[in-house]
Amino acid sequence: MNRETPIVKNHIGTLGATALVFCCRIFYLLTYSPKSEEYGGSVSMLAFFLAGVASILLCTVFWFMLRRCGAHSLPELYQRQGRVFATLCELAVLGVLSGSALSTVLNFSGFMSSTVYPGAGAQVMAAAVMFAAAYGAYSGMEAISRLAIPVTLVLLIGLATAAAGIVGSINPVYLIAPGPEGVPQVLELFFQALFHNTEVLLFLILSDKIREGSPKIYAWGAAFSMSVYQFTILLVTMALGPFAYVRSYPIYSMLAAAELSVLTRLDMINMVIWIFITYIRCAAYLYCICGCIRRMAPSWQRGHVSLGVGVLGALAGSYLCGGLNRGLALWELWSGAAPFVLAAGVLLLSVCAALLRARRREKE
Amino acid sequence: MLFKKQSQEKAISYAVPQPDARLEEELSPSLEVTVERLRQLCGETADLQVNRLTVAGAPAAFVMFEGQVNDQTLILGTASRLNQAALGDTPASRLESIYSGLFMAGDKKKFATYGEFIAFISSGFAVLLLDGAAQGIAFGIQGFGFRSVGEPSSENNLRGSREGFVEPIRVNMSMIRRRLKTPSLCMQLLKIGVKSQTDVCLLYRSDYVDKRMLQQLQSRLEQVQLDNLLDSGYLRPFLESGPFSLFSGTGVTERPDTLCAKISEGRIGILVDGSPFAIVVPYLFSEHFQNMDDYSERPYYAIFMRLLKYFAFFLTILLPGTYVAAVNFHPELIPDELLFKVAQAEQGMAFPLMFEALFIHFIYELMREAGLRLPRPVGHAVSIIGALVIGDAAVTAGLISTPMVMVVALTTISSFVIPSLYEPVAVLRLMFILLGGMLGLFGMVLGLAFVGVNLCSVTVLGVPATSPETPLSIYSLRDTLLRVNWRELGQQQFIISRTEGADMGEEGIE
Amino acid sequence: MKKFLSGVLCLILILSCTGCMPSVQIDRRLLVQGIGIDWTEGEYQVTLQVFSPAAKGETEGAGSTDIHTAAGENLAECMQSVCRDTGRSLFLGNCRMVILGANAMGENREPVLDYLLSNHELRPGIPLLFTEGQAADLLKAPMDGAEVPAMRIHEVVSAHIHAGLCPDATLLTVIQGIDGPGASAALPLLDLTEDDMLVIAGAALLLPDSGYTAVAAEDWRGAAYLLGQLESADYTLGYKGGTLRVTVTPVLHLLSAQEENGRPLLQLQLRLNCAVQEFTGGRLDWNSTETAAVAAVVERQAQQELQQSFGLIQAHQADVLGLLPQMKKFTPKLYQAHSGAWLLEQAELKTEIQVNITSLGSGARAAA
Repeated sequence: MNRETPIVKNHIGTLGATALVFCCRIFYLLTYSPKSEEYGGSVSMLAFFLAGVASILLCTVFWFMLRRCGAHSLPELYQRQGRVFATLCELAVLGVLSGSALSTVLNFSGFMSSTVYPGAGAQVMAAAVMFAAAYGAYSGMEAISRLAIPVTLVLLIGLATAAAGIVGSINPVYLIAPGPEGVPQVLELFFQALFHNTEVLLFLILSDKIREGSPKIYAWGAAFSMSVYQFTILLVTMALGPFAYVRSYPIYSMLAAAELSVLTRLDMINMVIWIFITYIRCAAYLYCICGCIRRMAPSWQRGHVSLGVGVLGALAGSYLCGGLNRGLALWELWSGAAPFVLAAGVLLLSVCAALLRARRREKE
Repeated sequence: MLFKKQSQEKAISYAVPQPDARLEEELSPSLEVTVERLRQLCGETADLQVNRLTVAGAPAAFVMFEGQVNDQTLILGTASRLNQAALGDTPASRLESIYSGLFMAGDKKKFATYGEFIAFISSGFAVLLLDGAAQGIAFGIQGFGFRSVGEPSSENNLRGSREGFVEPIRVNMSMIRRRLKTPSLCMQLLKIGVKSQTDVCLLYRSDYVDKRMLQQLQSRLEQVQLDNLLDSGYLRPFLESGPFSLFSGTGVTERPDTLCAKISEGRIGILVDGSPFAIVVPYLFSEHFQNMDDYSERPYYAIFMRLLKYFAFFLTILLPGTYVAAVNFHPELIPDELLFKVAQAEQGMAFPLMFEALFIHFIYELMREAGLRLPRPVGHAVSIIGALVIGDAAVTAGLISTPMVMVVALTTISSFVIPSLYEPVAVLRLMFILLGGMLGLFGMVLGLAFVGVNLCSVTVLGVPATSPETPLSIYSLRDTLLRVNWRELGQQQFIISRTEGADMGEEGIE
Repeated sequence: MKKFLSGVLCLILILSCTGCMPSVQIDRRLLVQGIGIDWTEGEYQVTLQVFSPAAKGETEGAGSTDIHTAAGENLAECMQSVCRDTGRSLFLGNCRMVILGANAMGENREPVLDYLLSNHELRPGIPLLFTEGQAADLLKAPMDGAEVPAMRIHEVVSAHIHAGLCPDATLLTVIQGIDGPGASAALPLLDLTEDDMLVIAGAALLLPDSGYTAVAAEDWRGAAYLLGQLESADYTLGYKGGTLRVTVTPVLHLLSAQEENGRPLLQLQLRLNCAVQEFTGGRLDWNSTETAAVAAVVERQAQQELQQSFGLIQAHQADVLGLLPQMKKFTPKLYQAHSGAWLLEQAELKTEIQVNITSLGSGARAAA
């Protein structure tokens, strides 16, 4: 019996894809901290809202560009432009995806080792997440997106429970609208949030595998995550006030402060959910990384590629978590415009190459 | 030379089963030659009975295996009528007259090869051979002993039918036919097992089943390479695809009413001769939490019981690991008074908590297995030993603490609520204890994510095993997570191939 | 075979992770129930009340608790010293409270709060208590033979908070106050009698200048009204020559700040449900005149308490009511134009109290 099933284009369900986009985008909420002591979370709320809207617009524009060139996904587009070009694009995309996956793991293990498991080795956590996520990548995008649905529901329930537990401490006094003086801070945060968002790239890579791969799915996922961001930051701002500035992870502090009847450790209950979110995000990126590698080396088996990616990811994650400055360098690079520029560059160059080819054919 | 010889032996031991070419031989017109050849093929087996008689003056013989045929029916209903009938002049015409003219048994077939000959007499048919005719007639007058239809041992219900499947496949088929009096009920017979030639029956509703699903299943069954098929469990791995999963996309049932219900939802049932367990394909994960009683009870109670089962499932796999993780890594999760009790109980314990958990679960699995295998009269001793050893002596000796005994008790009782998931639950429980003891809640959650992805990757015949929870279909939740009343359920039949995510065409994970 | 080997590899990998995470057996942990922080002779003194099932008062602890003390230049050093002396690791996740000695909350206030903030095991909602004496004495007191004395202290303080006799202070609210514009916070004030009985003496106001001041329990009730922390209060009032005992329950509390004539105005809308428990001056008539009169008596009492508390807070320049953050949000121009001290001094309190009489007692006569 043939054990290796042929590669078939599966279709990720629309709800699963939306949940996936949501989970990937919501990840950074865990380590949110207010950037402005003066205006608190209102700067972040405005900036994240604008960044979300901008990312939806960008995704729509990019998607229509792909369709204009007759492709259903970004890899499909640059694969058509010749082998060398395709390889270069794959490497660039691989770089962006790897950076995102590593920054996810860095962020997460840094958080866990400083709050939930003080004294634990962040390397172990990074390696464990990478290995587990590699298995998720091996299982396929369908499985990951199916898992994202219940995780999304549980996250919403968790946040609702936390909100109910913290409602007694809410004081609207701490919510101060940023006036004209707050605009520079809003803009700075807006660009940071926009450039940090590699989910548009993720969507464009996976769009041919999604049943109705239209930008509506991304828009819904982004809008939903934006709403949750707004709600949670509002809660943190009003409940913690100045307390939020003195804590590295105010969301975690808010969850720790929330008490609902017998549930006094909502922080730990919510940590369970956030580990799932981290896992889904990491698995999604690793899946796309495996896809890049397999397109460059089609003869390599899926299982071997996933295992290799998992091992390398675990080693890289452990290495970066091992020293204070190592991870910081990657974090600073990834907080800037580098991923956005790379991804947008790949897309625009592919579109240009496709249009040039089409024009050449017309002339011929 | 030595290595070469060993490799040859190894090659023979693990050779792919090959059909016996001798079984393709056709019968000889000579009765004696046929009988002699049969004896040779059967290795001069002692239970082969050849009863010679004369039909219309010509030699004939009834051939059967001892104990397989109903002797009274053979003598009174079959053999005696041969003498009363007017038959043709030639052996061939006599054979034809007997086959088409005389009604001597409900099931009769003509055959011409030794393979069919042996298959028929092995299945309890009595075969009539006429000298001069190169064919035989097999009469279905089985009389072998089998277990009577009784209550199913593995699926107990408070209400509903008390009938369970038995070993003979024909009896099981008749139970299904009796319940579903619709012409769309189809039964397709196959033979699987190169040597055993076991009868396998596919059951489905032609108006509900997805044709692609059926074709895929049929092609998989055709590719089954087994020497002997002795139980339905042998077939299950061949029906699944994709990477290894702790959870199966196929289910088993011992109840004919359950199988009828599944078939009426567009699934395919598989009966295997010799096994009282029928396979249902595809089988959703949520169906492990359903039983026939749900549909006999009031909806509110059925919903309560289903939710309780889901809770029991998570409790049984997660409770020991969570307890170990909470006590070792996250004591803040435990209420103060309980934490004090746990701290007091753990004082002076010989082993770390994780080891306690592993130890006691290991002891429990040993006792459970012993209880299954022991004869009933001795079985009571197991419960006494269990109570004394675990409940008293181990605690007194400081091997395990009292809260741990409580945890194990809750865990094991919860596992009995969903017996069909016992296999994955037993393994997962141990896995989570290890993860919880070594990596705390973080490890447990990663393990849970691993299991979740593993479960979500199970797709059988194009149907995701986790539907309708995920991919979410809120409408379909009315009969999985909940159980709405029959007035609503009866309005629209649930068809498995129309589940969200089921129209994926070919399976394949990428 | 491959799957089997993969499974074995996974098992080895998992088992090799043993020891990578901070697992501590429960019997190797010190389950801290109460922390006391004092400053004596130029160093910190930390007192820990620890649950210990084996110990019965071996180290000055009462019930099932042990007391561990350590001194050091900073709090971290003190905690580590306790760990070294006992050979166990500290666990603060179940800690019931932190008692701060007066000396520790003077100039040394910031390092203390910083330490409490830096420890993620301590919940933000952990109660902070204050004592003018030694926190160590409070933790060592037997508390009527309670199993875990810290739990008893916590229960007593909670009851007083609900009665409005002391403020509800947690790490979260104290930091909000100290780091806010007012740089002040209010903590419950505890004391011990000569018989080692716990007494809730009222409130300790932490002032912006690193000092503190004590407010008596009776004087704090008005502030409890203003903060919305009062659950119910019992009054004994004079009425018609007799004594009226009532229970008052706030049901609506709206506090807002605005500007009036260039000065800050703190406006409180309060609705109180009042039930008469006892009246020694005869029987009360259940009619509108009687209820109005009783309501007026209660309202006067509440007003008096409110103004008294407000006056005290103003006098000490301690913005424990959150006036300055309100000004910052709702009247930013006024806030930016004046200092916090001026705003507090000039602030006026306007109250609108509505008292609903829900019961006049069993002896009340129906209206004629």
